[in-house]
Amino acid sequence: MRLAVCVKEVPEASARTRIDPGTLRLDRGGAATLNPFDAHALEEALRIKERTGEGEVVAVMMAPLPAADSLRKALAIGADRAVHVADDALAGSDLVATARTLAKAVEREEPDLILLGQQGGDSDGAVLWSALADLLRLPVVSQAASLELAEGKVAVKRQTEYGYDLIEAPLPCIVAVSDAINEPRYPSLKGIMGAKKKPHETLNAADLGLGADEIGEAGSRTEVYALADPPSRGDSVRIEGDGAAAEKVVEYLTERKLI
Amino acid sequence: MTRPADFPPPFDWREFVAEPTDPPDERIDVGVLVVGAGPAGLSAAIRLGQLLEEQPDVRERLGDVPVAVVEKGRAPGAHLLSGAVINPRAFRELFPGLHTEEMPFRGAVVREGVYFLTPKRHLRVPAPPTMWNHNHYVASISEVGRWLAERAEEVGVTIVPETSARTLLVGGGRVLGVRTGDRGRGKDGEELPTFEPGSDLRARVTILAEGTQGHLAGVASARFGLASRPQVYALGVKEVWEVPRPPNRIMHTMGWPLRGGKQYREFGGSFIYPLGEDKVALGMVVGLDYTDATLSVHDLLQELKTHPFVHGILAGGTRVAWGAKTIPEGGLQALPDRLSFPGGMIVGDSAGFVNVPALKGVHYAMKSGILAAETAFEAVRPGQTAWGPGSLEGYDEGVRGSYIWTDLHRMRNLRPAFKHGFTRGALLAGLSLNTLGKLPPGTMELERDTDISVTVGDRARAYPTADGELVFDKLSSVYLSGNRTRDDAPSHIRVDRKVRREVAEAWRHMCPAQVYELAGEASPAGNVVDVEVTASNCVQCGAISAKGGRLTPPEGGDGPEYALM
Repeated sequence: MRLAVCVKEVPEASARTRIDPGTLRLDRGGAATLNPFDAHALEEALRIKERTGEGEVVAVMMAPLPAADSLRKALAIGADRAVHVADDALAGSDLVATARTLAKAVEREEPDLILLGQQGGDSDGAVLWSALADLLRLPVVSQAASLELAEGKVAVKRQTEYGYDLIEAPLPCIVAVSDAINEPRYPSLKGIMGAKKKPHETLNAADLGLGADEIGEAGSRTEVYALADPPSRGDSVRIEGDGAAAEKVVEYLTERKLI
Repeated sequence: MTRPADFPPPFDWREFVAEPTDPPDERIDVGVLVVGAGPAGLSAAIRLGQLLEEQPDVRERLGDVPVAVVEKGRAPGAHLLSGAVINPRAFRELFPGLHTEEMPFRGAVVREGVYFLTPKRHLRVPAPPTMWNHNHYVASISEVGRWLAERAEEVGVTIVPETSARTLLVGGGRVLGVRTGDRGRGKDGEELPTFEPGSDLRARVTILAEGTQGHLAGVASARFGLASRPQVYALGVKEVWEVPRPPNRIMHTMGWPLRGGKQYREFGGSFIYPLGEDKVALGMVVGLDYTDATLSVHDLLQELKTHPFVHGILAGGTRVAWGAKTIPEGGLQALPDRLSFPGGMIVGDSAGFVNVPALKGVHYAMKSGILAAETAFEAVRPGQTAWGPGSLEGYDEGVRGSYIWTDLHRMRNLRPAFKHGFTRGALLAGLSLNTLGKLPPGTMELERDTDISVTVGDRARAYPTADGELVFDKLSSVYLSGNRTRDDAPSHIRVDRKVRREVAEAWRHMCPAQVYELAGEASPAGNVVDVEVTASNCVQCGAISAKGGRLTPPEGGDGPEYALM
């Protein structure tokens, strides 16, 4: 059983996200970390491997070179192998170009199951798994709150606003897991120290057979014209905790017929 | 008389000393182990890496992992905080041939000013010679930490982040390494489903570089009887602002909002440094031997920002980072009697290498790391035993023969002079300074911060109300520190939960992260009250350890995530 987990690096929660006014892209210069949502996908892959008692977990990432630290963290937590697609020409890739690149990288691994987190912790984008499924022509299930493997298929409990959908899909397929599916483990000391010795492959666009017109801004289907802060709401009221704050909140909401 | 020392924390260092227990197939062996990825620890690791590259035969002896650095923060730099204006001397020693432009600095000090503040005015005063910063550089120590970590990895050092060193492994009278902390325990210490036990990490030499209030440095000091005199601390609270136009000079202020009277013992001031093209770093530092229990360095910094002089610098700007940290201020007379012990050494802020009148510590920390590395290297060579009696004493001699010692000796009477209040303190300090430390003769003794009696005064009345733009409350500050400590983690803070109101008030106001609250109704001074502790707010500044409590290492990866501090 080969399990591919797509991971990305996002700015640390504490870092102030800033758009570079020159490129209109997210400034990725500050402290960064493994996307917390992806940790759930990695955890699920490791649990499947442990349950079935065999298999290999490959972490796949497309990101600039310095993001190798986050990929190493995936290895510390337990991935067996890492594939890092890093190429300056990939900068500015939108969803389409990113999915195209990842699809190529994942395809090489011939995985039985491809796992992703539910969203990116930076942009909150939550569609990459569907774009990937489209390119790879594979079934996809999103918001998986639990996942069981049966003979040649997966059985997924898909979280919805009203309850759960019970969905089965044949392997190979793509599953985007919800952050409620599991509690990711900590890396062990041995894991952290051994991460450097695990196979860690770095590829560029040419290695994946991607031409310059397929990636980066040239390969993207969207163009960013301008960015602006959301307009201020202006009418917010601040109620300080001076002992009578709860009453004031109730009064405020009652006045507006909100309760 | 109500002294924090009358309410000692439930802490016994023996709890943190143990023999190795992991079976041989579980244990992890490294050559030299460094605890803490700050300037001192990383300089030690880099110097060792350099020496081992030159001598592959010695490297061979040290196994798969010749040098390892464990760091409790999420990444190197995450728990580092300093002003900082750096003397590049130790950088030049560690990286000969490297140009200053290639060092991780944000700009040279071109101009500087020292100002005396009154509530509405500022008066420029001549800078004392200790504070001349020509040829020094402004930097963010978090950035410096990240940069040093990269250099360390280049010379083959293994960096192990989000791992706290909890227990000192001791066997046969010598240190054998450390045991790392468990992760995934619940509030009452129970094992959660994610539980991951700590491991024995064994090394030939262990270098303790934990920074201010080093946990294992304290344990080692108690176990081997290293220190006979108390260390004293100051608390620094710092913010970074993005501003349209940073000032063209580094600035230090004295006076307001601190009070000058002898009874208050309020020793400190502020720093305001331009940080690159679009940022300014500012902070307030106050010695923790003050007497008014309602003094809060966090809120004094907020008050400072309302001064027209400071407000002008921040106008049109946004606060982008916040943090807090204690500084060992005792200087020469607070250093441990011995810096080495069988199997290990103490470096950097953990030893107390800070020159308070010059507001410098980074280059001493780095220098002590270099000296410890050279001693460790000699001790692991073929034919040597690193743990024999006195085999690491070369480090003690190295420090005594270095500029760390010369500088701290000259400055030894400056900080203690200020227990006499600001004016007399400044006079005595000036005398000492102008005679290169010869006058007054002898060495003034320090009083432990916990031995200073506290009273509930009226300090808090002046603190401005938070507006979320210029003035902030403690909780929004903690949020900005990136603190991601798990709410259900076991408390790492040891304090007496039933203390007199004066002490409880002192903790409540002192803590910049709103960890301590008084339970129940206000009660008169002198009464014993219950203290509630919200440990998940803690940014591990160390103030509580100086003022009557004791921090132990939290779960690895917990605490703040400083990026610009």
